Amino acid sequence: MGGVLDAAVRRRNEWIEDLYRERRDELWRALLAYSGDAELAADAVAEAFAQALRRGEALRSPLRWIWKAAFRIAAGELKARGRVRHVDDVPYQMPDQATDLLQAIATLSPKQRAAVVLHYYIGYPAKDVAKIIGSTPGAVRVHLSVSRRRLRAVLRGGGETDG
Amino acid sequence: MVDRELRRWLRALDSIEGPTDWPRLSKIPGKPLPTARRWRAFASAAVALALAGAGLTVAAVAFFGASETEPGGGPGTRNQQQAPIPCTPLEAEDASQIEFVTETKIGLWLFELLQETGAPEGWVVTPDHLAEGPGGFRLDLSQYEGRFEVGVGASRPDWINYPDPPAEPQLAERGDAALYGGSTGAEGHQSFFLVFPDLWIGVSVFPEGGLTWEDPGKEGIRRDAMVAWFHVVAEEIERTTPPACLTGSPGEEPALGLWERFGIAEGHEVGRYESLGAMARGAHAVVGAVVTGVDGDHIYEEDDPGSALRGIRVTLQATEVLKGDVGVGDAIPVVVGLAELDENVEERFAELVGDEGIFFLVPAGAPRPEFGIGGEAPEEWAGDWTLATSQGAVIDDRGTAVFATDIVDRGFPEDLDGMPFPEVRSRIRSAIDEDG
Repeated sequence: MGGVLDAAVRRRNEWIEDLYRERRDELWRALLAYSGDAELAADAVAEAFAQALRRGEALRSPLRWIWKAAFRIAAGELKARGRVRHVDDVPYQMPDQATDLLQAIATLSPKQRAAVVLHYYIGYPAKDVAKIIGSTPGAVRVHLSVSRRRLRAVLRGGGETDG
Repeated sequence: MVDRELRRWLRALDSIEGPTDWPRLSKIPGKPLPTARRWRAFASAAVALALAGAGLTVAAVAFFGASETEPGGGPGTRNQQQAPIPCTPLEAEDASQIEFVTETKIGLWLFELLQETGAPEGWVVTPDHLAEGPGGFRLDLSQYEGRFEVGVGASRPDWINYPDPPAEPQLAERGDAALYGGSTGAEGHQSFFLVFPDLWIGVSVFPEGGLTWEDPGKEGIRRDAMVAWFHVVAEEIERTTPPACLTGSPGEEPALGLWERFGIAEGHEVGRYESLGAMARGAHAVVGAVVTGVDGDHIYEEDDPGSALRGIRVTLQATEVLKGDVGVGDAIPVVVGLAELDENVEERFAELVGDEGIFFLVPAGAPRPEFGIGGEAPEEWAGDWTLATSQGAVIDDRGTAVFATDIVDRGFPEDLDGMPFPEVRSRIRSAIDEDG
């Protein structure tokens, strides 16, 4: 019996390790857009996956839990700092268009940023976004609506989107 | 900007190269202490307390591990039993872990309360396992005659249909806390939800022999016993729980507030203020008022074909004018924000504000150059007002800033929560007077 359980745990851990290798960059980019901080994003990704590994069978939907945990860890860190780090402060090389995008996203409120990234970049429907950020689908749709208007003003104002 | 344009724009993120030095998962150090040590101590004490009478202390210690921090006192002391939920301090090193521990402590406290007040007759409760992820906790009776599961969380789980009408008639309401009776589950269980603004407690009942819910004369779980027990829980929570426990976990954004549950997110944000005084001075009008109507016919221009958001326009009747060119008794139309409307919107808005609130108002679409926001008032907003900001723009008659997450985060007005309404009003008046 113990051997069967051990094998099951091993398989699950290997699955989470695979998930980590396959999805960490995507999650990191989403968290970078959310936080504006490459290091914070990397720490949140690693910590979320590590926690998932430690919790093992207690998680029924590991991937969604990991996304939720990563965003909450990042949110907690941002709150502890008291502000969103401006992307220009980050000593990290990235294409100009991506820099412009991150700066535009940084003008949004935290929940707006999370909603935009999770919905428009990752593709989660509003219902799933709500679960990840601790909100309601209705509120998420409002966040998206307000964000669209604000991003339109920021991005088009800078002549960045029409091209 | 339509959806596909925004999606295309966000693909620019793909061009950013990720880190090349990812650590191996197994090499990432865990952070079990000191938070987990405290949690283990607390759990061990609570469980031992509950099970001592049944001679099961040894089993409790075996389940949770030996306490590492109990040099004196020991588990099960009366003081520990009566202590309020230890919401703070908790290390902010790991937000999700803190949330998990905090909520688990609330779950254990409920467990203690269950032992102290007595569960409905015939129940025996024992801890079983931690449920899924942060916020889950269950007390499982499966090895006895039935199962009694308690879930505690700061976020509403998707199986609670709050704030929508519950599937079955609402059983009781207690101010902000509402007790809902859920539908009968697939396993023949009955679920109840005690919902606070930022905390839900769900209880599912799995009685042996099936439910005899509608007939309290038969054996089984009695509705009146369950409702009575819930009232005890609600009263104990109100009596012993620090407000912080019900408004989110330390180290992370406050949990979902009433305002967002109401379906409004940020509304027409025109600025943020660092303090109540700044908000009072920045507002064009500050009025004490009652809500006399909620109109959902104002359709907001929405460019997402999948959404059906509308603006809400409430009508206030001013009972007191603290600032501004508004008369007592005037009807004040206020564009509040976007929401998904349903037939209960009026009732829930009244619940949100209470009988009377203080509203901080600016003309709808008023330019706010100090916040870099220009005036773009649609024609139909002529003569309307809007909330001065999405943060703290309404203070209800319980002295709570109901739209206040950001201001509270910035250290203000923490001391306002729960303050008697006249004193809140006095402070606002002072802030306005200081401005001359």
